[in-house]
Amino acid sequence: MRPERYAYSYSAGGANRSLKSRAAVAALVLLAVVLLVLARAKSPFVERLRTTLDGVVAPTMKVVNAPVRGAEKIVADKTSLLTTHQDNQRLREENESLRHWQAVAQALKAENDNLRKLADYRPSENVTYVTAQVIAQSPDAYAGTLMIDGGLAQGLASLSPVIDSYGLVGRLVDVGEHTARVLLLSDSRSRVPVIAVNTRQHAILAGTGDELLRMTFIGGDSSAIQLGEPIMTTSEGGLIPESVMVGTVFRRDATGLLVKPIRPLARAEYVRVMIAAP
Amino acid sequence: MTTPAHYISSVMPIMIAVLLVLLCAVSVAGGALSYTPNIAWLMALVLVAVNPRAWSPLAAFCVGLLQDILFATPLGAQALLAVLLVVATQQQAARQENQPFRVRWLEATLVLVVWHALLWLVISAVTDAEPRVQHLLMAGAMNALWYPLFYFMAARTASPHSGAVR
Repeated sequence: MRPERYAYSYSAGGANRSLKSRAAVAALVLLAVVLLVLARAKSPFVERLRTTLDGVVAPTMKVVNAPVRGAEKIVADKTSLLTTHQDNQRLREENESLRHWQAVAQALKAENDNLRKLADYRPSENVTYVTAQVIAQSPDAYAGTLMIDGGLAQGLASLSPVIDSYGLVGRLVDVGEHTARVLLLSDSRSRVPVIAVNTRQHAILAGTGDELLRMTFIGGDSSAIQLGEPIMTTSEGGLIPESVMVGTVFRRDATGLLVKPIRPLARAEYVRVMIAAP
Repeated sequence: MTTPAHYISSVMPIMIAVLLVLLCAVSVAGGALSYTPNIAWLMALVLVAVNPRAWSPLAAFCVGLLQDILFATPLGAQALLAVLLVVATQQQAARQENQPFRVRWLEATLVLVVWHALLWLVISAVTDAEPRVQHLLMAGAMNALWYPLFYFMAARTASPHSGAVR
């Protein structure tokens, strides 16, 4: 005989109680299935519901984020104290290297300005930026997304590219009034047009669900692309501005080339959303 | 009659679950992807086994839906599987009562892998995403590693013999 405490829903707890429990379970299952069917049909209702619910949980996420950020800062401060000497040495070396590159960049900028004047070149697009804080991330392997605390009220729009200080992170997919969701480059649904900087070969960069991204539809001889070659965006398709850093070619395998972002995409704490000015 | 103490002890598992889900979604700078437990499913597995009254299908649905919202899985996917997991665990709870922990852990591991496979199928059917089988195995294994911690916490706090939730 079953112990009494397992009679909660399905057995000796009384016929009425059992019936009510079964009806409740059936209703919940039905509701979930209806939501999934509507999601499959890409119903605007489900998209609106998701952005609304994102907006509902966002303030709570901000509150939960605060102590975690505080703890992270304390740990980072303690760690940096321990490595101050090495950091100082490294920064001196970096500084010397950057002084050299600053001089090179200034010379190139002057040359570029002169050439633009000669060619009467006008940049085709002006971009403005909106900075937003990452308030939640998708912690499972099935979806690579970030939730940020900016939305329609801040001028964000769906499909806008999102960058951090290292380069392209992804693009917006669901934009609510005060929250938005970023589809990371690593998500298996992500596709971004890119170009290999040295060999000028175009490709589509596809997310794999892993840290590495796969170059697909390479327009040319993929064997010419070297490991370590930088990969940047192109403006093909008109959704993403050109020359935004994405990563470097990291590995070649039987199925093609894999690109490693400059740093793990999900580690962004603050991001900037690029908005093309009209 | 429902006393305030009884009410508080009955909502406590849900509050703890919600807090844990929120913590799992915090954007940790170290990158905690794939290492976090699936709270809705683990709570269903351990709480229903320890004390079915502590975790109802409605609680599982709500926490599963919260996970769908925060983790960007299709709305209803984790909620549906969480409810089904509660029902499945309820059916097996009496049989499991006298089983040693190792057997429970093994069964839970199999169930978690199967449930991740179901989630993988649902996501593949509902969205354009192409999640990899390797990911579902990793996620199942990771949750199986979390299981003992959840189980012993539940056994200490939610068991009818612990005096918390009856």
